[in-house]
Parts: sequence; C-alpha cells; structure tokens
Amino acid sequence: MKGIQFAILFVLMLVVQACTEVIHIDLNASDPQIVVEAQVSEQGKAEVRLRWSVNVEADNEFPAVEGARVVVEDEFGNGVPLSEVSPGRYLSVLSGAGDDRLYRLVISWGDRLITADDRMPRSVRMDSLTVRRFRFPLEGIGGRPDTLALLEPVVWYKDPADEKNQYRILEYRNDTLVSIAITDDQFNNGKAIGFSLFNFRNPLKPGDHLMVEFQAVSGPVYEYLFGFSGMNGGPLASSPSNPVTNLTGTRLGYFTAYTVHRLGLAVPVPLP
Amino acid sequence: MRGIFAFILLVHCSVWVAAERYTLSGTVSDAATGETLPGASVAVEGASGRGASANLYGYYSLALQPGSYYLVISYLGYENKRIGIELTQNRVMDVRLVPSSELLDEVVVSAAKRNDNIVSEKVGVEQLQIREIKKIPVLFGEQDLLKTLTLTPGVKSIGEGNGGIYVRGGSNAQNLILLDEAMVYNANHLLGFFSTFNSDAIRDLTLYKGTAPAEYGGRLSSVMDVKMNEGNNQAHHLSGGIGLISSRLMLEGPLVKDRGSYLISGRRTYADLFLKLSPDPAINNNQLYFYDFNAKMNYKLNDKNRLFLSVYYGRDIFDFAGRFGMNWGNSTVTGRWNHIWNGRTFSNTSLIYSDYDYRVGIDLDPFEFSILSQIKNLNLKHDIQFFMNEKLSWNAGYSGIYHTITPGQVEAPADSEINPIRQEQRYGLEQAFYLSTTYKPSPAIVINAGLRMSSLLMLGPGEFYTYRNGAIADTLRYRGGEVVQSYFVPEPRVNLSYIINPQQSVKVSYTRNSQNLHVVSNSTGSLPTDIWLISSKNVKPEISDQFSAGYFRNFGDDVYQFSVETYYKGMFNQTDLRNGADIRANQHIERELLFGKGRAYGLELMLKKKYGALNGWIGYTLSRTELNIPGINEGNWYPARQDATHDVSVVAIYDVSDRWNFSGTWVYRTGNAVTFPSGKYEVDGQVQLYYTERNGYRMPAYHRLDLGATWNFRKRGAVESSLNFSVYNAYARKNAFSIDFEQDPEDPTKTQAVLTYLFTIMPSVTYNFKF
Repeated sequence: MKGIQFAILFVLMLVVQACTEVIHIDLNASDPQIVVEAQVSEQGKAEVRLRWSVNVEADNEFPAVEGARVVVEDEFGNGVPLSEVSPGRYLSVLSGAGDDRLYRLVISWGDRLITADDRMPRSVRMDSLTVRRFRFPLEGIGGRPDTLALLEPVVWYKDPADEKNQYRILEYRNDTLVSIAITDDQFNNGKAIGFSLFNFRNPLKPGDHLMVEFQAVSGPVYEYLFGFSGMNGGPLASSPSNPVTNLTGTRLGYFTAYTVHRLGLAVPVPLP
Repeated sequence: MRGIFAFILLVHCSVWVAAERYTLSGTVSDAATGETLPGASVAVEGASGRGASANLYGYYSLALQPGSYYLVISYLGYENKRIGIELTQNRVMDVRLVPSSELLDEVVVSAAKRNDNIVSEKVGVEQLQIREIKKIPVLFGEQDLLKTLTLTPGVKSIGEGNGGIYVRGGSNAQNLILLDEAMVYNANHLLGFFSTFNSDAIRDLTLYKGTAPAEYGGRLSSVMDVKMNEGNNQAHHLSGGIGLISSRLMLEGPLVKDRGSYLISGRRTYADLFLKLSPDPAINNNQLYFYDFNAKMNYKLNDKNRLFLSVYYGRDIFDFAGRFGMNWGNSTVTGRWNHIWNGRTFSNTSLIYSDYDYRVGIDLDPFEFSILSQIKNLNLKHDIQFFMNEKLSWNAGYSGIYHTITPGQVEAPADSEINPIRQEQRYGLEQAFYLSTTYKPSPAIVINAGLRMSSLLMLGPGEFYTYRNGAIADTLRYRGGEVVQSYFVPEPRVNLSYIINPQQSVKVSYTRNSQNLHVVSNSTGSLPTDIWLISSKNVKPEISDQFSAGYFRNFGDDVYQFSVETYYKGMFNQTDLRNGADIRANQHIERELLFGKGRAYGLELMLKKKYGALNGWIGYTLSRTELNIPGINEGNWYPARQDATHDVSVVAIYDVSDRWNFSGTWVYRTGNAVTFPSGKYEVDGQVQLYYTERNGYRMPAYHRLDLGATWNFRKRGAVESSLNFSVYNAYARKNAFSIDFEQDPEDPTKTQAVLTYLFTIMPSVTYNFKF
C-alpha cells in the first residue's frame, strides 16, 4: 500500500534527520538491450519505438534501433506493417481495430525476433473531469505557504463490476504530458470512483488547459507498469528487478493494446 | 489426546530407583531478592566433574552415595557458598547466594564456574545477562538486548532502520524469539530502532545459534530465549530511568515475603511530544510513539509447587492528524506451573497465548477504510526433567500450538470508495514430542542427544487452492477442523563434547530444524506489514541441517576465553517472491512464491576477557550465505542480502572506580549484498534502470564506534542513582541506509548514485534511579 510506505517514510523523517550525499560507485557494463515501447490503441493507431539501453555512467542518449521490420495485427487477421518515420520510431494505423480482442506485435531486426501478445480490454469511459480545491490536511509540509490554494484534478469513472480492470491515466497540461498514473480495481471493484491527479511538486494553476487521456489496459501491462512504482530501489523495497514484461525476445519494454477516452477543460480564472 | 496422556504417564512412571543412592535436590536463589538462579553450579568438592547445574527454574538434583560431602554452590556475580552435608536419606536443600560486590567479583568467582565455557556441552550458544550489558553504549541511551546480541560472532544486523537479526546466515523470520516461553512475532519497535525488550524487566537472553535443546523448535536459524526478571520477594523497590526520547519505570516487591513476588515495568518514548511544541496544527496534531508494559508474578504454593504468570503488552502508535493512523504490537501471556514430583523429577507445564496485530485506518472521505491483520497462537507445553544420576539425565515433553492467522481484512463503510475485503482465516496445529538425554560416560565426555518429532496439521474451514504455473490448478473446500494438509519432520540433534583438560575442550554438533510458519515480505525494512503463512498444499516446511564444531581454550586462570567455531548449514524449501509480485490483500499470495534452497557456512572467532576492571571481547566472523531459487537470477546461486564476508566487533568495558566506568564498542562489517543497476534505458519518457545479476554488488563497508560513560552518584540512604552518557557513531561515519540512482539535477543527461545515511554522531544522556 502506498499509504503505508508514505507513513513509514514520514516516521523516518520524524525520528531521524536523514542526510544524503552523492557518491561514486563502480558499476559493471552491460550488453546493450533492445528496448521496446509498443502500443496500439482501439482506434488502430500503432506506434513502436525501438532504442538501445546504455551503461549507467553514459549520458541519457539512447541510440535508435533502425531498420527493423515491425508488424501489428489482431486476432481477426487485420494486420499492418509499420514504417520508420524517424530513426527508431515506427508508425501506422491498423484499420478495423477495436476493443476486447487480442493483438500481436512482431519485430524482426537482423536475426533478432521479438514478439508480444496483449489483449485489449473492453473500453471504459470517464463520466467527468473536474477540478477542486485540495482538501488533504497537509498544510505546511515542505514549507509551502501556498498549499491551501492548490488545485486537484479529479477523474470520475464507474468501474465495471463484472471484470478485473486496470487503468492508465495520462495528464496533459497545455498540450504537455505532466504525469502518468496507474490504478486497478483490486480495492474498489464496481465502485464509482473519483481518482485524484493531485501533484504536489507541480500543481495545476488557474488558466491551465487540462486534458486527461484515460486508458483501459490489460493485466500484464498493469503489472509491468506497477513494477516501476514499487520496486525501483528505494530504502524499503526488496531487491529491485526489471519489471516482468509481456515481450519475448528482449527483457526491456512492453507492448500495450489499450482503449482511449479523452476529456479536457480550461481551469477558470479565478476558480469559483 | 489419549496418546499424549499415555506418553506423560510413561515418563512420570519411569522413575527407576537406583541402588544405594540418595537424592539431594533444591532451588538456588538470590539471598537479597529471592529470584531463582538458573544455571547455578552445584559441585561436589574434591570430585572433579561431579555435580549439577540448576535448570531454568533454579532447580537442581544430584544423586550421591551415602556419606559426607562438601558442596560448593556458585553463580557468576555471587559469592560462593560451601556447605557440608551428611547424606543418609533423600534431602531437599534450598541454597541462597549472596551477590558479590563488583570489586569482589574477580576474587571470589570459583574455578568450578569460571571454565563453564569449557566443560559445558553447549556449542553455538551466547548468553547475555542484563547486568553485563548495561554498561555497553547504545543508540539514544536505550539498553537493548537484541542490539547487543549483534556484537557477538555469527549474529548480524543489516544496519540502522532495519531491526532484523541474522544468525549464521538465516533470515530474520527464521529466529524463534521467546519471552518467558511466549513467541514474539515482531521483536521491534519504531521500525527497528528499538527492540521490544525493556531491559528493566529482562534478566537474561540465551541465543542458540547451533543446536538448541530438543524442547525448542519451529524455526530454522536460532532460538533467542529471553527471560523476564521475577521480582524481589524480600522488599519493595522502585526504579527507573529518564532519557532524551524515552523513560522507564519499574516496581517490584514481595506478594508474600519469601513465597512470591511481582514485577511491573513500563516505558514510553516521547519523540512526538516535541511535535507539540510546533505552533502548526498540521504538525502538533500528529502522534508517533511506542510504549510497552511487562509484568510478572510468581507464587510458591508449597515446597513442590510454584506458579508463574508473565505478561507483555506493547504498542507502536502513529497518527497523522486523525486522517491516517497505524498501530501495531505484540501481546503475550504465559502461565506456568513448576512441580517437583520427587527429588529427581521436575516438571513444568505452561499455557501460553501470544498475538501480534496491526491496524491501519484511513479517513479521507470518500476514501475511507481500515485494515486489520493478526496472527496469534495458543500453546500448551509440558516438560519433564528426570535426573537419574550425575551421569545421566532425561528430558521429555510435548508442545501443541494452535495457530490462527487473519490476513489483512479491509473494512470500509458502504459509502466509501473502497470495497471491504474478507480473506479467510487460516488455522494450523503444530505439535511436537521430544525426548533428549545428557550422558556423561566419563568426566571428560558429555553427550547430549535428542529427537524432536514435529508435525503440522493445516486445518479447515475454508477454500484451499493449489497452483500450477501461476494458475489455479485446483480448489477444494474443507469443513472446520478437517485436515487440509499434514507434514511430519523428525528432527534429530546431537552434541558431543570432549574435555581435553580444564582449560580446553572440543565440541561437535548436528541438528535438523523445521519451520512451518513462513514470512512473506516485499520490503527489507522492519515493516509491521509482513505476511505470515502456515505450511500448506503449496508451501512445504522449511528444513535446515546444520553441522558445527568448536574448539574452546582458556588462558590465564580462565580470565581469557578463546573459542573458534565453524558451521555449515543447508536450507531447503526456502521461499522468495517472484519478480513483480503484488502482495496487497492477495488471497492467492502462495501463487506469488518461488521455492529454492540455501547454504550458509562460516568461521567464528571470539576472544573474551571475562573478569577484571577491564573486560570485554573481540569477535570475528568469516561467512557466506547464498540462495538458489529457480526463477531468480536465472537459476544461479546468489548471495543473500544478509551475506557479509567479514564481521568484526570489539567490546571494552573499563571500571575505573566504583563511581566511574567507561565503555566502547567498535563494529566493522562488509557491506551487505545489494542489487545495483548495470544499465539504463528510457520508457514512457522516464529513464529506468536495467538490472542484471541479483545481489551482485556490495554496499560500502559499515563501521562505527560507540562510547559510553556512567557516573554512579554516592548512595543516599536507600537511593541509588547514576548518569549515563553515550555517543553513538563517535567518529561520524556516514553508514549507508540506502543507495539510489537518480538523475543528476545539475546535468539531466547523467545518472548519479546518492547515498542516504541516518545518523552521524548521536549523543544521549540518561538518568537512572532506584530506591
């Protein structure tokens, strides 16, 4: 539970004044791995990005994997090859795509073959998107005098009770992606839910244009993304490991077939 | 049940009468407080190797031919008593020893006791007396048994913020921690900064890291047997301590003089009281503290029967402005009945209750729920000791433990966004019969052999699953009391000791242990949220086989004690979580587990100076602990997190005068095994780390110096008091709590390693009093 992790860190903060220091650690080199970011939406937009991993000491410049053959198809035989629109970026539109079906990704590069299957869940749509004043009684934390004025975007939806659902929620502000959240219905199956996109570090401001992309994703994709949230080092996590991917042929990255629903609003100035 | 009675009857009836010997028996106790002295030595003068040690309740028994004898009764820290007796019939002789003053200590301790480390058959055992550890400096000035224990060879901690104790490569959950026989599930307060044992209420701790006596079982790695003080049965005393972040108070005294006593002790931390000073309501509304409470009573009904009652209750409380709260804690109750059947047969019957639970409450309307998770057991034990003669004694008994595990129950009101989750409770009956014998064929040889027959019955009611390849293979429904799964593990153990001469001995031992209560945790900290499982259709009992050997040598009239011990431990049916497992309220948690094996081996050296104004020890451990779990690290062996190649500890205590004493400890440890990234990549606009081998790296070495000083005020009437100063981490070593790899804020294209440390130098002062 995130709450518990938060509580424990808070306890640590109170008990001891933890300090940090940048140190040097000699890390082993690793063989570059092909990293796959592949997605197909219910509208059939297929996008695949292929890059190499690098060593930790290197700059964050990840070389493109160019010249791969990439195909996305569904279980009804609709398929389309993707064309490389820029180095390592492959795009196309799969006509006749839709939700609640299995999709397959096939990538070949030299003698490397990478494949993945992902079942696109049934579409779930938001009921509404609202903005309200932040109510959580955390005033004063981090020395923020303006905390009271913080705005909280909330995504409202009704979770279908008859199936297991997972969601990925992308928040754009003024056409810039600011956050990606994931959630599932393990603790709130079938409920009407108000999911908060509250952001301490970068709060929403009056006058912003807010747009939320609400995706329904498969269980394996959720598990992959969840793997980044809890296991990524940190003092209390167990031995970190690479998230379990749905790809075969490489260890890093994932393939998601997801449904999309977008809602947007302009945050009024001043807020009523 | 009938079988149990038959067994008990058999043991009680088998009192063979040896020809022309009489039994001398009784209880050894402290003359000032009336507390019994377990392990006190009763030696026959002029007959080397003849004598007895008092059992855990201070009871001894000796069978001797008729005649006149001089007996020397001794116990560390007490003046010896020499008693002449004329044995013409069976006799009961209770002995009271007078505590020696500290300066006399070194003079009067007899040779019979001083080389106990040589002549006892025990190997892989550490014993800590609270009186001894009180001078050792500790964090926040709070005396701590478990922290002191990690200064002995073969016992490791991972560092601050992790209360785990790792004995000979075993995991933290593989230690059986007993407080007056009751199982303590979580021996930590405040995320491991304090142990649950309040040193005021505790008398001593015995750690078995090798072969434990057959009456102990149920964990793979060690037994930590903690005994509470009995309380003074002569006079009432109040004592306590006032420290920077916690205070303690203890009251003890006679219930009926000479017949019974009580002890009540409590402590509370008040770190959060400082929060009240803040004018900000968001801060001063929070609570963060723990308290615990120990009580013990004993009453001697008559010369043959004695009753004991021990209680522990402790709680950690955390509350965030009434919106987010957590609290957790242990409670234990132990009732015991000592009965002396005759001069040679002693029995103890215990009824024990123990529980641990944690509760979480969140009230952020409409996000409102609470979680309750609990594990508890009811334990019936019966143990009989039969002292046949000074060469042979027997010990037999039965233990039955009924476990009830309540996995995380989520409760939520109907208008909450959260659904209630009910997970089925799990039940298990863990039983053991044991029989062991100590045989001394000659004064130079001691053989201790035992067999513990352990069984587990997992019981209904409920739905039980089996899994194949991560999917449910079978679902079966059982009625209440129906056996779902049973396991039986015979656990032999043997200790052999050869006393070369009074200054040196060699000992070897073998033991098998099994464990039916497993802990699943996805964190490495001491979180209260660990998940407990009983062996089931999917989870088999953990088993370990340990071989150990030791050489013990005393120098300089037993003032210097040297030992070298070595061990090899094979561990089977070890579990770990698969990568990416979600353990939150997961009723299919067993599906998330992977099973494998482990091995641990090492060498432990110890040089101890036990007596004199300057005393202490130097310990060194060279060890390795590895795991092999298919599904992790591509099936290759990898070092366990607690694996640390070198471990050094130095403890020195110097009594300058009866007013001042100084102490210091220094520890050095190879950094524990850790998984660091070997590459990085980008997904969804975020730089992520690429991990290759499990635990393939090392944290920086851990080392630390602690210093302490105690000033004893002049005694005023009945009032004794002292001031204790301590400095934790005196040279401000920045020991790593964690190392994280983050984006460099100055150059976002780079990744940097950031070390987090919790303490540099940490002074504290405590005022202690007694009257």
